Amino acid sequence: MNARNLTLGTIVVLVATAAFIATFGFRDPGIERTGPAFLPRLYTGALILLGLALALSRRPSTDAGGAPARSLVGMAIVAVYVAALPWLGFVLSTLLLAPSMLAYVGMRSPWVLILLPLGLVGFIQLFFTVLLGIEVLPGQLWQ
Amino acid sequence: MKRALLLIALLMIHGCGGDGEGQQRPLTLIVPTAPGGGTDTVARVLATQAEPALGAPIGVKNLPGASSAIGMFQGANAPADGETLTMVVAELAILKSLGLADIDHRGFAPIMLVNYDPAAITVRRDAPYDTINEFLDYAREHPNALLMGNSGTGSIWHVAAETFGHATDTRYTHVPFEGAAPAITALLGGHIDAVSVSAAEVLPYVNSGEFKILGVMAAQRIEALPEAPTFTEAGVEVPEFGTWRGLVAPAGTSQERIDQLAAAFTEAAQSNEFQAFMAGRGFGIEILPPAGFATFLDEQAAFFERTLSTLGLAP
Amino acid sequence: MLEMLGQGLVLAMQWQVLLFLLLGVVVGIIVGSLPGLTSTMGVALLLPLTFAMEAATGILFLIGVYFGSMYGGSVTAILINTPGSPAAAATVLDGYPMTRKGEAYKALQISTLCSSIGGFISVLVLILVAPQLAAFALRFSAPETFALALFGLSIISTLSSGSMVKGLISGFAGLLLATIGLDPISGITRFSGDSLHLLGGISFIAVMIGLFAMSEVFRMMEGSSAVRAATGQMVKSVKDKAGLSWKEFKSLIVTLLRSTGIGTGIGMIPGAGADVAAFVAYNEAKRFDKDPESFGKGSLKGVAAPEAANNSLTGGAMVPLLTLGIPGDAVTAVLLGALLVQGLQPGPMLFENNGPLVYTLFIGMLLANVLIFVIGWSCIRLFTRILSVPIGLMIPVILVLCVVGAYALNNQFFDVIVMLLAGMLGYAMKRYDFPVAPLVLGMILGPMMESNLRRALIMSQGSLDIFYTRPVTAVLLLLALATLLSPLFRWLRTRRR
Repeated sequence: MNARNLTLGTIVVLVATAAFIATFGFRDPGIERTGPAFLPRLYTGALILLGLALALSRRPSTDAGGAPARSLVGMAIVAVYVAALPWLGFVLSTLLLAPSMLAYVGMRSPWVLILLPLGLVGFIQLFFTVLLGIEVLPGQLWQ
Repeated sequence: MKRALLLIALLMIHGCGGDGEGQQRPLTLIVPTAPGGGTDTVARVLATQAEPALGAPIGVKNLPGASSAIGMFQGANAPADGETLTMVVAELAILKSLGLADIDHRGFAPIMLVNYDPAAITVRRDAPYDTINEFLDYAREHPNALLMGNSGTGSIWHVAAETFGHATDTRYTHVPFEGAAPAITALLGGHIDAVSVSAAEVLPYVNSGEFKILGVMAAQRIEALPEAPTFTEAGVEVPEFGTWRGLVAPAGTSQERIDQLAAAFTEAAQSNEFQAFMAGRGFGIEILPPAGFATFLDEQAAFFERTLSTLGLAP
Repeated sequence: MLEMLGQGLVLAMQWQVLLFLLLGVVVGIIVGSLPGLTSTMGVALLLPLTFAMEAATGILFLIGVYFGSMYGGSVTAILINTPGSPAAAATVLDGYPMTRKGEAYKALQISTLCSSIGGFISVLVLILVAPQLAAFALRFSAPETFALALFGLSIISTLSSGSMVKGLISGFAGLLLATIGLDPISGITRFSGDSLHLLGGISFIAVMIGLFAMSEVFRMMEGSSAVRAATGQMVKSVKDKAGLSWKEFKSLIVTLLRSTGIGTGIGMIPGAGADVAAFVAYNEAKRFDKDPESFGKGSLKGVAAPEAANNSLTGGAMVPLLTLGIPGDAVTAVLLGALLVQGLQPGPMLFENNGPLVYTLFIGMLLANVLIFVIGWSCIRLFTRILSVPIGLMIPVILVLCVVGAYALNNQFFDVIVMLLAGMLGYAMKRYDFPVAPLVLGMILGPMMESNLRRALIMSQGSLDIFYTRPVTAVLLLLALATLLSPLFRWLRTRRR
């Protein structure tokens, strides 16, 4: 048994159990033959068994390595960007995000910091909005 | 050909947002279904025809999902400034009664009913019954034996089939599909016995001789299919039943703006292009002004609430 | 027929037809390569442009987009581990490992060759035997489609090359996620609470973008210490000269033909799309290979199979569309609309009423596949340049494209959030060695399997006979069983030694 498998397996079992319990809350329509809860219960049941198998497995687990801390900060930056989208709109948020992301990963050249976001936004506006007619994420403050 | 190139060039220019003189702000038309489908093409053709009369470009925005609930919900919650319109579909009258989404016609100010297509009972050409009465006799002798395809449990065509069964006191095994097209395909392959979708949707197969329509759930025969009989003609009492599409604005939009929009869209609906398009697809044009559409919506909501609880489909 | 083809050839050789076909293929390749922009969306959004065009021009423009987008998805799948469309999800499995080995150039050559040859052959099949095949397509009903979906799902057991338990967890998680929302069979909601967005279900494409592409962005950040990002590249080396040799191509021919057959066949079946075809072809390539262990590590056949399958699907999908007027999937439904707008009614009468036009379309379709080859082949060098772009520059570009793509799916901000969460999940899964492909496969096939199983049982009035009395169903179910048990057999065989 190893600690990582135990943790991962337990998470799977817990989530699957919660979903399994939730299937009993489905309204029974009583108008067709196999119920809407049949397969979800089968899936969650299988997941519980597989989670247990994983938790108890002795197979050494591999780790990709690297520094997850940097990724976590990256995720936070992306989350802020996504949260800003409905307010600032796609164009403005992206013109703010792209340079900060570039700076975070170590890009320092001012040309890159200015031109890349502009080019990216320009391409997306041209292809999505002009050609395909999709209005990309209008914001409340600025469209 | 040159027109097509010009069109692309025009599209490029107007996409860039250059507001010309006297142009109003662009309108948004929410379509609660995926691009490319029937409702979407009707909306797009109508919008193109209405642009000159409105003096403003109309951008179609597809917001599909959850039996059209997502798009209609967002349409109802848009600002009531007359700049965001929604193409509503018959599900608007059903969703609330089914307990699926808290949305009904009271969230909207009606502008114009565009289209109405009655339900029909359609079977294969080689089916052993030629009239609706022969079909009903067979169904009475073999309860639940006939497989009746519809576009999903709780969808408009499922309700149509249940209404038909209830009114004629016959029983069927209702087979739900993900939309009308797969149900039609299954009938074509002979895997089911009948479908209860609209006459417009089976029109091509009736014309090519693969299907026959036994009865249409309407008071009069439909223009696109004059040879298809109605139930009333055969002496079978079945309520009128059909799907429809209409234009609405969010509730609270000024009456002045509604009238202005209604005038522009009525003109668009009378254009040759729109008429030809609808006739080609077999869609029935049914124009109602704001007041008439409002009454229609009230009636539909009441009809479905009653029907769904009679049929035991409401929670 | 030859006379008709000749007529079609003359009609197709007009400059505006050729120009718009070319334009369509180019736009299609771009649409396909961008995550979130699917074939369906590209065709549907460009449909209004064709209203004003002549029939042949307009429809061939859309067909160019459709065919091109099938190929385009492979470019990003191979180079940056991001399938541009669901059809290319299976291409990632071996395409990206090839890139990491420095064989991006060769991988793109394979995908270009197999896409265009597969597509070309499938159109030939369409031209020669469409009416005969249409009858076969109609034999597919709920039990057959259920069996096909189950067969597709059994592939999960072969996709899980590392830990079988983790692969299965990933697959079942995908199946479970796909049940969220409105159930079309019973009309009730599952796991959605009061959320209107969850009522509509979780978009598997948003999840796919997150799991494959967004998670890759997070992983790139991990490695990127400030200095490495500025100078470091996506992969260490691109063996530019190492193109595909004749000998290697010969070894791919059987895979190519088999996958083309699978793709064309699945294309004809209503309700199964290019994503399914690509995964099934990948699985069969692996099953028949002498060295199945090489799959997932940059096998040439692992790229050839899904790419031949997803492009050959196009010819197959045209069979029921043109001969019966049945759209088998979302793209052909839009194409049906395009034909109707032009006043053409697909079905048995189409060939009689509009013979010259139909053959013009056939010639155009063959030509579209030639164009894919010409454009693709001449751009390979340009595509591989992406790899020499510093990681630091790629990060914001991929990230923004993921966000825009997820939004563009349904114009919903909700899908962006789903994509982001899937990205975080994908990062964790990759870190702890869970394969992500089974989850995507589960989400694609789950609804197809479930609703057809339940529909079949409704149609049979609850009797299970329907699953073994129909020959196609029985064969597919046996194949599924064989695939499910194959890891067990392999294990027993190694045990005995």
